[in-house]
Amino acid sequence: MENFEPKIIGFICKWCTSAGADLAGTSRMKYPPNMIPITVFCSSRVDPQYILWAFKNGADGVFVGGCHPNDCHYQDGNYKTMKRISILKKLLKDLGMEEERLRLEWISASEAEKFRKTIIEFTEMIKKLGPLDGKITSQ
Amino acid sequence: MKSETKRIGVFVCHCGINIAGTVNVPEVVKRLKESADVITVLDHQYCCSDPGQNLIKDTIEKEKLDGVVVACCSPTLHENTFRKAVASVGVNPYNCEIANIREQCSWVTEDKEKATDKASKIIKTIIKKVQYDEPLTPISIPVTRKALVVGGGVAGIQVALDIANSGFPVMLLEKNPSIGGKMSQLSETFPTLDCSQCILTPKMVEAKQHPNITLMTYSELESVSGYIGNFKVKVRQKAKYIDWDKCTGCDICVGKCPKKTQDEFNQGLTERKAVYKMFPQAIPNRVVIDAPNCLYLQKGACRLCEKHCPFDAIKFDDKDVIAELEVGAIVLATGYELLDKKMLGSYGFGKIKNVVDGLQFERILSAGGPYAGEVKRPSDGKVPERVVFVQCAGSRDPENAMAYCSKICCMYTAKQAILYKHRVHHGEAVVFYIDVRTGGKGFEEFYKRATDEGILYIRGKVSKIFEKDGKVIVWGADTLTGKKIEVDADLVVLATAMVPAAEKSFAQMIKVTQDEYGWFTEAHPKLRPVETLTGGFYLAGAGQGPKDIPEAVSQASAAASKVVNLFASDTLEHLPVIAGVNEDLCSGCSVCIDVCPYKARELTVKEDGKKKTVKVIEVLCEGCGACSAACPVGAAQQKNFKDTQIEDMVKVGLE
Amino acid sequence: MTQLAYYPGCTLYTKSKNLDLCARETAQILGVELKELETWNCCGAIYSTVQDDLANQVAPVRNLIEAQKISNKLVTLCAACYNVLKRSNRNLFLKENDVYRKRMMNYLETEYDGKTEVNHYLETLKNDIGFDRVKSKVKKNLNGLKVASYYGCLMLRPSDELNFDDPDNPTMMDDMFSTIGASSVDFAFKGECCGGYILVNKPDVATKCAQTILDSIAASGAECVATTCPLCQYNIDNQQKLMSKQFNLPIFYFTQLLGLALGVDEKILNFDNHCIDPKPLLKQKGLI
Repeated sequence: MENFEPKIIGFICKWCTSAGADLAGTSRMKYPPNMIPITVFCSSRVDPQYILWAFKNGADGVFVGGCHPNDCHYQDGNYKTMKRISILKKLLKDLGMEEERLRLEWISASEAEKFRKTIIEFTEMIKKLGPLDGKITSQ
Repeated sequence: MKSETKRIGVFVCHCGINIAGTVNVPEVVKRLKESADVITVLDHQYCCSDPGQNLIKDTIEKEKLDGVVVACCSPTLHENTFRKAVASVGVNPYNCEIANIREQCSWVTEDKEKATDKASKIIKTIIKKVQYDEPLTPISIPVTRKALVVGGGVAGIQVALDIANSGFPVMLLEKNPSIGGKMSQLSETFPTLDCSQCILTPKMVEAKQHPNITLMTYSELESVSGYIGNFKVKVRQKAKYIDWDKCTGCDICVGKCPKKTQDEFNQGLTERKAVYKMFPQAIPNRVVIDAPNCLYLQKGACRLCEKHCPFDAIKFDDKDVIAELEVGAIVLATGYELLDKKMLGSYGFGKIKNVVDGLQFERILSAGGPYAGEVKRPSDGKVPERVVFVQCAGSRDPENAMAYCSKICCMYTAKQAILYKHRVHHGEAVVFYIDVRTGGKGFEEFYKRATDEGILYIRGKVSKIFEKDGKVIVWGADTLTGKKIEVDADLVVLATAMVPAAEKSFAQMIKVTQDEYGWFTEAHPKLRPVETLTGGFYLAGAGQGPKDIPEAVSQASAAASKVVNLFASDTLEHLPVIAGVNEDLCSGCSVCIDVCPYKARELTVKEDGKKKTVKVIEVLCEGCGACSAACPVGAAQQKNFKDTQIEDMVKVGLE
Repeated sequence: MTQLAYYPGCTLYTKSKNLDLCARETAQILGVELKELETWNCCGAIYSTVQDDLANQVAPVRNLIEAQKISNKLVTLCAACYNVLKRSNRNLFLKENDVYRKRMMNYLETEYDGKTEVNHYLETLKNDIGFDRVKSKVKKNLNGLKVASYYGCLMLRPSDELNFDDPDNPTMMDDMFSTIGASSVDFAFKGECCGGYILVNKPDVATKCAQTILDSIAASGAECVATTCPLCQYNIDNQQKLMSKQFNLPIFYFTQLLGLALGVDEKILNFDNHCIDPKPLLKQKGLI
C-alpha cells in the first residue's frame, strides 16, 4: 500500500533503550515518527496483555526495547521479557498474525545508531506487511 | 482515585528552536485544548528557566491545578527541576510528569507535520498517565555512613583521604600486597619531572596513618548485595602466609628464600623471590608468600624463611578469610593495565627482548628498577645508543586493537625520551607519531622542550619491527617526506594502549555497566563523570577511561564529594514508585514473589489470620515492575504506573 | 581410508605436477585419499576475490559445489587457490550479499548451501590427520635439518577471513616439521610478501622482496626453506640467480620434505626440478 503509515507503539526501558533513544536525539539522528514511545522502568514491566491491547486498539506493530542480557538495571528483568515475548510470538502466530509485527531488541544507552537503524528497519517491515486491519478481533 | 477530580495543566516548551523549529507548538496547544481532559494549556520559550518555572507555579495557584504535564526535553534533564517547582506550590511532585518531545520527537523527525502529530500523541499519553497518578511520599531509609574504595592506586588513595578527612570511616581495598598502583612504578611524572614515588609516598603514608582509613591489601571484592546506603559486601583477604602483626618488614626471609620467579613490579624485567615485598616503600611494609611459587607450599620442602625469621612471623597454615562489611557507598578506582603483548605481534612484542612497553621502560628508568636507574637494554645489559619510541601502539587502531586514543602516551613518550637523553648524553631518541597531543597545563611547552633537546619526531606509523644482527630494525613511514624509513635501534619502546584493569565478570558482579572496551560507564559523559547509573557506586581514576595523574586526582576528589553528599544525612529517600499489593484481589499465589529480583515480596496472612496474601518490603522494592506484569489478577500494581494507566496511554497513542 | 575432496588448481596440475603427486602419496601413507574432483575449473585467482563481479564468482563456487559429491571438506595445496576459494565461500554468505548471492545462483546448475569447508593440506595434516599420526609414520628422520618455514602472504591474510594461524607469528608448518625430525628455525619474515605476483611486470621489485626474505632466513642459520605456496617456491628459488648476494638456499615445497620423511619415492619428490639444487644438502644430511 503506497500511503500506508503504520501505527507502532514502543515500550522502551528507561535505563537502556530510552536513554539510547535520547542519545539518538542529542546526535540529531533521523528516523520515521511512526513509533509512539512509552517509557517503562524495565522491559519486564511489559505485561503481554499490553501488547495485545495495542494490536487490538489499532497498532500495526509493537516494539519492546530493553537492556542487553546481563546488563539489566534490575538484574534479570530482561530475561523475563525474553521469555514472555517468545511465548507471545507463538501465540500471535496461532492467531494468524505475522510474528514479525512484534519486535524485541536489546539496545543499550550508548547504542543510538542501533536504535535508529532498528526503528527504520521495523517501520519499513511493518509497511511491507501492511495494516493489521482487525486481524485480531475483540473476541 | 478518579480522574474527574484531577485538574491538569499542560505546559509546552519551545526550547528555543530545538522543539519549536520542527514541532508546530501553537498547533499542539490547540489540539490539546480540544481534549476535554485538561484545564489549561500554555506554552513558553524555555520552561526550565526561572520565568518558565514561575509561569507554571503561578498557573498552578491560579487554576488550582493538582496535576502537571511539561512537554519538553528528556526527563533525565529536568524532571527534578519541574517536580521541585510544583512541590514548592503544594502539588505532589509525583503528579508532575514529563513528555519527551525533544530527544524522542523534534530532534529525530524530518517532516514537521509528522513531528507535530507525534508530539501531540506523546503529550496525550502523558496526560492520561497523570490523570491516575497518586500523590506519593518518598520512603526514608537509613544510610550506613561508611565507604568502600576498590583500588589503592593514586585515585583510590585520594578518594579515601578525602572521605576520611570529612569524618567518615573508609575501607581501602587493594588486590596487591601494597597500595600505590601504577604511579608507584613510574620514574618521573610529566611535565614537572617530579620523582613519582616521592610525591606519592606521602599520600600513601597519610592513608596508612589516618584513623578513619582501614587498609585491606592483598584482598579482593568477592560479592556485593544490597543497595545504596545499605550494601553488604564480602571481601576475600587472601592468605599471605605471614602474620602481619608480627612481621616488621626486615626482609631477612627474602634474602634466604631460594626460589625465584618473575617480578611483576618490574614488569618481568627482573626476578623476585617467592617470599617478597612488593617494593621497598611498600605500604603496608610487609612481605607475603606467593603460594604457587613457594617450595614448601607446593612440595613440602625448604622452610628456610621460617627458620630465619626473628619474629616468628611465618604462618604456613594461613587461609583466605572472607570479611563481611556493611557500607553505604562504593567507589571504583580499579585503574588500568597496558595492552596484551599478543595484540602487537607485528611489532615483535613478547618475542623480541629489546622491544618493551611504556611501563617496562619506566622501570628501566627508575632508580629502584632493574638497572638502578641506568638505561640498559634487557637482552644484554648494554647501554642503548639509539632508542626508538613508537606512539599509538594499539591505540587509534580500530582494525587491529583499540579505536580510542590512550591520552597519556604522547606526554609520557616525550618524558621518557627526555629522561633517556639526560642519562645517555650521546644517545639518539627517535619518536614515530601520528599526532602529538599535549592538551594539559604546561604540556605543549614540555613537548617543545623535547624537540629542542634534539629528539627526532617522525610522523608516520611503524609497520614492522624485527631483529637483525643484534639490532632491532624498525620499519616505518615518514609521511611528511613520503618515504619509507628504516631505523636500526638498540631498544624500542612501545607506547601501548591503556586498557581497563577490571574484567567483565567484575562489572557484572557489581552490576555497573562498562562500555564495549570495559571502561566503566559514567552516569552522563559531560555532567556526571564520577557517578554511575547504579545507585551507590562512584568512579575515580583510569578505570573510567584513559587519563593522567592530575585528572585521576581531581576525579577522585569529585567522587569523594559525591560520597560525602550521600553521607550528609543519615537517611536517604527511597523512590516511592514501587509496587504494592491489593489485598482484595491477592490470592497468595506467590507468582510475584518468585519473579522479584530483590526479594522484596513475601507471603503472609491477612488480618483475619487465615487468608494468604503478599506483603511488600518497601525498602527493597526498586520499582522494576516485573511483579506487576506477572500478577495474573492485577493485584500487584506499580504505583503511578498501573495497568489502567498503561492501557489508556496505549489507546491514546494509537488514535 | 578417509576420502577428502581435493582441488589441485592449475599450477599443480601442470607445471608443478610433482608437488601434486607427492602430496597425494603422503596422504595415502597417512590414511587419507585425496580424491581429485571429477570436474573442476580454475579458481579464478585474484579476479575472483572481486566481490561485485558476478561472473567471476561463478568460477570458485562451481568447485565448492562439486566438492560436496565427495566430502564436505575441500583440500587444496596451493595457497592462492586456498585464499580465493575460502574467501569466496565466506563472503558469498555474508548478510550484505544476500541479493547478490541469489542472482549468482541463477547461473549455477545446482543450488549451493555454503557448507563446503575449504582447507589447506597443512590444516588437514594438523586437524584431520593429526601431527602425532604423521610422526608415527615417519620412516626417515630428518636428522635435525634446519628448516625455515615460509608461509607467504596469501595463506595468512586477510586474517579475519582466513583464520589460518596467527598472521604475525604463524607456527603450523614449524610445528609439523618439528614433529618429523627437522629443526624449525624462526625468522622475522615468515608472512611477508615475496613479490611472486608481480614477477612478470615488475621483476626488480619482486627480486628485492625475495632478497629481503632470504636475508632474514640466512641470518637465522637455516639450511633450507620450506613453503606452502608453489608460486613462492618458484619465485624465491629462481630469483636467487638474479640477486646481488648468493644465498644458495634450497627452497622446498613442504610436501617434498614431508614425503622424504614418510619414505615416498625420490622420483616422485623430484629434486631435479629446482634452480638451487637441494641434492648436495640432502646428501650431506644423509637423507638421500
